[in-house]
Amino acid sequence: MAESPHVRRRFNLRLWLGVALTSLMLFLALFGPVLAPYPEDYAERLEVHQTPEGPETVYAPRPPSTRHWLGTDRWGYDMLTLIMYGARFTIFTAFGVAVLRVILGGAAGLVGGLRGGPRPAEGTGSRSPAGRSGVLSALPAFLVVFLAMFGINFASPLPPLQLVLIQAGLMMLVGLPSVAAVVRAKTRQLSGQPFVTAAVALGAGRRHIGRRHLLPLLREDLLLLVLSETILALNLLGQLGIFQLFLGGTRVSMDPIMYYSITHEWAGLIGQARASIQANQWTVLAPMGAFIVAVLGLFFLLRGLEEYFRTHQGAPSRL
Amino acid sequence: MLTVSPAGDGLALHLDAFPRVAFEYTRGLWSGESLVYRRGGTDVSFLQVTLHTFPTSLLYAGGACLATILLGTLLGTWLGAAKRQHVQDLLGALGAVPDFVLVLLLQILVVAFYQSTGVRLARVASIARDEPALLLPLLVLSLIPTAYLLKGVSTTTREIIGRDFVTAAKARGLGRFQVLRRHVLPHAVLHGQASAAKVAALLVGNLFIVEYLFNIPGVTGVLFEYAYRGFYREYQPQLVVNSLIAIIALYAILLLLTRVLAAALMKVSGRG
Repeated sequence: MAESPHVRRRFNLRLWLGVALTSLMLFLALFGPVLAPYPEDYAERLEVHQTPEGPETVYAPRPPSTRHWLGTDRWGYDMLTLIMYGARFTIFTAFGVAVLRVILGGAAGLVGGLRGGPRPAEGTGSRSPAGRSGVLSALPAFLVVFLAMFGINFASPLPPLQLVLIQAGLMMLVGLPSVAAVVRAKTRQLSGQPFVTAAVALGAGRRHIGRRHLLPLLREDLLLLVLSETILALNLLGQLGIFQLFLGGTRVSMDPIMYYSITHEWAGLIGQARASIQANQWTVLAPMGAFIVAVLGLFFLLRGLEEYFRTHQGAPSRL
Repeated sequence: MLTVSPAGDGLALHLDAFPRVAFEYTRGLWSGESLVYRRGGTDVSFLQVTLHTFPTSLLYAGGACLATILLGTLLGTWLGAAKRQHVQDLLGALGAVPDFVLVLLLQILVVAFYQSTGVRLARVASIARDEPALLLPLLVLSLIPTAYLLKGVSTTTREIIGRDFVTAAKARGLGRFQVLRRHVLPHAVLHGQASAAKVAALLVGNLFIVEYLFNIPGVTGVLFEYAYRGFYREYQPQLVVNSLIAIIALYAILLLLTRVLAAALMKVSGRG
């Protein structure tokens, strides 16, 4: 099916959609603060309109309008501006976490896979990665990060950037075992191939095999792994945000108890407006829309690249 | 249980908290203190609360587990054999959307629908004990694990339908449905069994979000509600330990349930 020539030339819609949306996100993350329509601390708590019956005062939050494309939140801040300022925290943290997970987890998996030798021929392997981690896999990643960050993130005396780095480090750590397991399984599978046996017979050491024979073949898998881990990291960020653990610190006010994101990171914006499902829905829909676009962009990029690699494999140069 | 805490403006890592909590918890188990926690100004028995919360969580997670295994395996086999891959793409995209986004979007949609038409499609949250929200939580809870399982099963199916024994079965005159049932489904079920741990973990993870956002009084809610008291320096480690034990027990039951369901599906394929 995939090998037929007309499929190979087919327009890869997913890939282009993914590239476009992901570039948009990266662009927002890099230049968001420069392009934002209002300064970060600019708020319109109330507006006075002149009507035939006399002046009329309206209060924040205001729905989307030409003045505020995505509306304002309950303190009168422009939603679009907040999203543009928060983008760099959301995007770069998720991406950074994913890259570190793949580099460190991948290295551990490669070494572990080479140590363990090739996988047994009869496929009992599909069971091992998830099954062996046992009861610990019952505890979701966000719970671990939540319990660890809990004591320092709320009304924290620490500067936001330090909190971002601590949280990113924790998010990276909780994802390492699964990345290592995937790379280890893949390495084992590849080590059973004839060319590895040939290399061993010619006297190649583990390091040489890992670097020259396996890593080039793993490159595509690792790239795809970065993308899927970025999606997972975004997901984790969002789950923490739902429980008011905002990246870069949660500011808390009493009477009524309310939580605010200091960095305007997207999951934080969603978390702080979570109650707005019955009224002022735009305050939660706007950051959620940005979040969904980011996740879907990465998902399409992932699927598109998978398809690209699949159709461009095989028929290598015979020279 | 807290591993990091600020001492003034400095940061302190309390790794010694783990053995200390473990020791105090074990000692408290003897005196009964570990099974009690403070709510408001009174002591509440954890066991008594769990008697109500555990069945609630089990109902939701178990129902979602049932839907996931059945839909994931059967639909996955069917779709994997289909020529077009659009449905998988759609489900894959839905599965990539985070659970909390789905919950909030569904809640907003239902509310907006109600506000514009006056028709209530489903309950957006549990307010009273006798009027629980059922439809939306179960939908969200099962969607992501189902999408995950379906992806794996349909990949397996696509590989299996290219094997020689499928050709042989066709040559013997078996119809498409019978080939799928007798020769492909067993492999799909095996895949389901192998992913049981992952499915159960996904369900438990989603349960936290779903119980929290739909205001369902389950095991995870107790953990968060009272762990938050740490903010008022009333942190209760024994509560966290108890909740974690309850959650792991739930996970174990779900794992068992997936095994039973897989065995039942094997029977359906005529191989059990």
